[in-house]
Amino acid sequence: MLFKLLKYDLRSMWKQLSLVWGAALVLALVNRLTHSLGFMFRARDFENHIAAITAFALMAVFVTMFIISVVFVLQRFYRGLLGGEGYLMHTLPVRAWELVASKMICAIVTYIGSGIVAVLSILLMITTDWWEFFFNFPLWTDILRGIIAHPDIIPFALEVCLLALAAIVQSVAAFYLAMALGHLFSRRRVLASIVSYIGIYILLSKVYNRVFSWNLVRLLIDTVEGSVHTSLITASAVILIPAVVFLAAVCWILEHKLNLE
Amino acid sequence: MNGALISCRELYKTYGMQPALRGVNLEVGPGRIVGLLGPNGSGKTTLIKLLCGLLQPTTGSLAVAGRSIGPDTKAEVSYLPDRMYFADWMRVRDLFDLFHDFYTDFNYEKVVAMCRSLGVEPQDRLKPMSKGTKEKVQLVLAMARAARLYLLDEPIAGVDPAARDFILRTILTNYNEEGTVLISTHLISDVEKVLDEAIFLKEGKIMLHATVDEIREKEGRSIDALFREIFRADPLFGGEGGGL
Repeated sequence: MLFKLLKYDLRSMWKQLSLVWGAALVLALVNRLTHSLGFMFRARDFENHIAAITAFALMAVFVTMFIISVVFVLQRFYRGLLGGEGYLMHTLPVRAWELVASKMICAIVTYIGSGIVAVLSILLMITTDWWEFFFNFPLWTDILRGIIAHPDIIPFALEVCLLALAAIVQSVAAFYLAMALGHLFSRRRVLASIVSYIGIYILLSKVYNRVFSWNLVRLLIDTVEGSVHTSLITASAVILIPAVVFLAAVCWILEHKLNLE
Repeated sequence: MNGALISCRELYKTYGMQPALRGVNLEVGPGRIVGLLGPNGSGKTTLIKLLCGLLQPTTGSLAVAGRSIGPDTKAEVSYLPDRMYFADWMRVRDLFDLFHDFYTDFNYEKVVAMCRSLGVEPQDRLKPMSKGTKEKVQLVLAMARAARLYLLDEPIAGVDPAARDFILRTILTNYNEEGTVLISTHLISDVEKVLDEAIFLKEGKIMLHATVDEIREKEGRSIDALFREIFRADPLFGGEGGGL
């Protein structure tokens, strides 16, 4: 059933975000063409300000992608499970955890998708000869040699990805819990959700993160094995523990305290 | 009643300090069309939401086909809420696919034919549709299932008489005859002719539960007339003279 739910959540994501992602890539391409024309005709003022404009455009792409992703993730959970669409989703023959898991996976895919589009947009904007870059065989050979000489780099990269993934899961789980707690109130639910989020944020940053400070993590690692791999995995686990607690609380609220009125 | 499809025991539901259901005991068998009748705020929607798992009881128990409310009962219950549940991005076809994926008793060909009779095509977008058309799409989705229990919450509220006829005809010609249809409404005269049983709900309590024939025989009048008497509230006239 989880895969069936995912099918609809991912379809919803694609229908709503594909236009935005496509528009971002087209804008990046237009930006690049404008720059190229500027150089071609040697427009003095344009050349002078090109670095500033590009930097601004890069920043705008990242900020826009981030905001769009966060709004989409919040909206899909709030409308899909706590709003009108909840009348459909909560009467499907599935468990609450499947509904939440589907939304979470979709949120992760949204963030990753937006990240990829942001990076692609930036690459499109940079006025480099990409053809030359991709077919620069000596460069790729050197990179390959480097990887063979230091095979640890692959697990290290995977662990960095795991750490980033854990951070995404924790932040999304905190959003979900805040919305579920706000939903327990009969009035001013949005305000209650915002207050709940602030409370969760304080709990995480001032209590949990102090208890599980980097020193403690390092202490735990030192007792097992003092490698960078262990530290990254332990850090991921430390980030994921509150996320699991948050998600369990969300599932409990949806199963026992759901009130769509 | 043995083999009851719906079974409630000492069912209480409160919203904060406000009671919505107060000690409901109810058994409904299969193959019946049952009217859940009562004025606004009597607890009809709360009872339906409890039966389809959108709410949890404060105390007491309820079961559908002998099982506690959960994914198993949800697979056998077809629910028509009193509001829209569509997502903006959806086309009619997306809803058909969703129902087809999750409900084994969903008849895809039937729902396409029913929607076409309304002038709605599977590729149509839901967002620009009128409220009335959306309500009809929701109704045909609910009735295209061969469910054991249909929970229809105010299906004829707020629609014109012609639309009421369409809705009642759709329900009567499409429901699974081995299943039970529970229709909540306060528009008694429109549904009276199709009901087998009537449940009168007042302030969260069941006032009366009997077959329509029993009520007519015992009371010597229509369900509508009885409803008007039971739920009659004398208007409070303003001013010292007490006149209008």
